[in-house]
Amino acid sequence: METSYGLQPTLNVSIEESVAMFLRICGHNEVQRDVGLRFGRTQETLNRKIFEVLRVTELLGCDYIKTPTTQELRRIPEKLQMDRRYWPYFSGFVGIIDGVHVCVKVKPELQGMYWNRHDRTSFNIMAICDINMFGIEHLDHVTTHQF
Amino acid sequence: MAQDNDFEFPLPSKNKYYVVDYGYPNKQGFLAPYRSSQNGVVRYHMSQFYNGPPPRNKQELVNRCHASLRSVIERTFGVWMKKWRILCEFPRYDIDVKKRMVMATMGLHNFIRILNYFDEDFVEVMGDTNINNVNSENDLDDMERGAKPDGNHMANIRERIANMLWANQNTFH
Repeated sequence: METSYGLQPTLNVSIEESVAMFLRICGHNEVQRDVGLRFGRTQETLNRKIFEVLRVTELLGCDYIKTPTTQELRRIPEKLQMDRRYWPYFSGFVGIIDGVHVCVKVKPELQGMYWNRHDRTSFNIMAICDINMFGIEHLDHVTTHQF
Repeated sequence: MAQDNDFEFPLPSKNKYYVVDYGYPNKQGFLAPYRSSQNGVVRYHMSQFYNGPPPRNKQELVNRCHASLRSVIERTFGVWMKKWRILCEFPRYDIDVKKRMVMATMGLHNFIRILNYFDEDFVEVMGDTNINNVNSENDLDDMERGAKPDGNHMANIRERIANMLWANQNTFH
């Protein structure tokens, strides 16, 4: 992350520490206050560091979330060919598309647009996934739910 | 569909397709399952096959196969949501930050997959084709919404798959 994406350590906070703080926020949905206490940092430092790492991780995401090229779309995945359940029937298979909801905090006046069927506010993400479970690619968009 | 005018969307070539669910039309490049019609119910979800008789006709056979193939993405979302709890629990960030976080966590997800780190979250779900976290209420909704005429080209492809599967049914297991 330091070499490829230019994440810089500062005098007091190392790269490892800022990444660790970011991962606790994303992976455990911890409150910033708790993370701050755990790492002995003020919330201001923490907030700044988290957004620095988020920016860098986004860049990493751009590199790892690939749109398949035309050649890749033509190729038949080996895993599919080895699976007797699907081969040779689904020989034209290139990927699977589905949507998923991610919860989000919305301003009260806009909430009507984001209500989902679980009585929460969320937005929809559409993703494509290949048979190896990666190569997820997202085309996220906001859906307007109509009831 | 939104992608119609989106040039960045990787549309597959003529005989290739993405596997999609009821919500999408069965048009060029997108293979949707058979729908139930007035003439009879065509089952789709894996649980309906586990709790009932084996496929009764070729439409159901295709749908079963389709559903088990589509479970790949359900599993992927499952792992992704489970791993990054920020996505599914009490939301603390607003939509702009959340969108960036989605991008970031998906990037990390692919990063883990590509570097092939041993990750027990992935191992757990790897062989499981039975995941069925779609709820039927949503489906009914989808069906009503998606009741547009199916594209001829994809209908032919689907028909061909159906015939092939039905003919080879005995070797299927």
